[in-house]
Amino acid sequence: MSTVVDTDAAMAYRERVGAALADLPAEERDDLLEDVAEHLAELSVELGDPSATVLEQRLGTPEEYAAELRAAAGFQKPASTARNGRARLALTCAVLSTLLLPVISVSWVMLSYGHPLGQFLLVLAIGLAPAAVGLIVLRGRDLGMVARLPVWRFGERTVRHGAAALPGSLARDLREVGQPVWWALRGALVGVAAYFVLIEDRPMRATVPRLVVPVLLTVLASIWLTRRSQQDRRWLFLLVPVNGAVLLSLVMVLMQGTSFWTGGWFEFHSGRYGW
Amino acid sequence: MDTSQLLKGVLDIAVLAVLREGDGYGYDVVRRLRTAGLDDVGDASVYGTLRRLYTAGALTSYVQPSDEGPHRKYYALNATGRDLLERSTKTWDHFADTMSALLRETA
Repeated sequence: MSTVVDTDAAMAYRERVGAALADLPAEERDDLLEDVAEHLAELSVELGDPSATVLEQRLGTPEEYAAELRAAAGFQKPASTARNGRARLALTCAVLSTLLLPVISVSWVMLSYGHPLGQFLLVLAIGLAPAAVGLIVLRGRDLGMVARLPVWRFGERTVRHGAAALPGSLARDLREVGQPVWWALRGALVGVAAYFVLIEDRPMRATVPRLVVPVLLTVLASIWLTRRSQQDRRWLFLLVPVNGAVLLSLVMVLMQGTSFWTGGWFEFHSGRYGW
Repeated sequence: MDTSQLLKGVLDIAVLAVLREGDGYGYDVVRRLRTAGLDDVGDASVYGTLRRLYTAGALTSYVQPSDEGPHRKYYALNATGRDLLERSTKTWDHFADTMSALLRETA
């Protein structure tokens, strides 16, 4: 449609309405602004190129107009700045944990002698502390206010576009097969790692039968956690950093072999095995 | 009493009723509501309501050029909209009767 808003006052008014609707998804905002343009064009004809003052007398301020339009169109009010601030802080905390937990847990596996359980729990606590702070910042609310942040929406759009760019069958396979495989694989990796790091802190031997129980438990835990996170997205604050840690240790295992888990890397490179 | 508060709840029915009489574009609907006596109706509320009813599938729309200037997006009631109006009218009638009776009793 080619409705033209051609007076300066009307154009400025429309721009301010647009700014007040900036938090809406682009498509919905564009639809509303198209209506605003049509409306202002009608008024320009009726009032004979009205000044900004005349427009505000007739319609209220652009911000009031935007609020009325948004409410009538059924869109939520914009989150207050304070709420947005909290949401951003919570998201930052979650991102921090997602970076911190992989780095310190992998470093700990590499650098620690004997891998005492107490140390392991401390590493977990430090790595997940920012995420815990994030949950406290949210004050027990769902992640809705995080999901409304522009940066989150941008991320979602990017992922959606990325998925749309894949061939249809591949995207479906990844979703339907790849995801459950990852949930199980993640659990299995945690189980194997926990076994070798915490229980049998020696290079891997033929201990497959003794792995069955811990691996089974962690696979079930991994799937359970995923289900929980689908029902209550706050679990993502735990799950995403854990995903990061598992992925990074997977990379390390691929680079170093399973001796990575048993601390061989540090011992080898520090010369404890002799040259 | 401030009628703008009352209007919020019934603007959907008012807009649907106006469109039952004939297709209309946004500003035309505003004018027709005012002519009908709803002076307090806000322009932006009408535009927003039209957009929401359209998104909800109660209206169809088409664009028509006009001689005076802007292209105009006309809205028309469809079967869903007619059905919605019919049901809303019943709800409104019942509600209005109840309120009237209540107010007479307590007067």
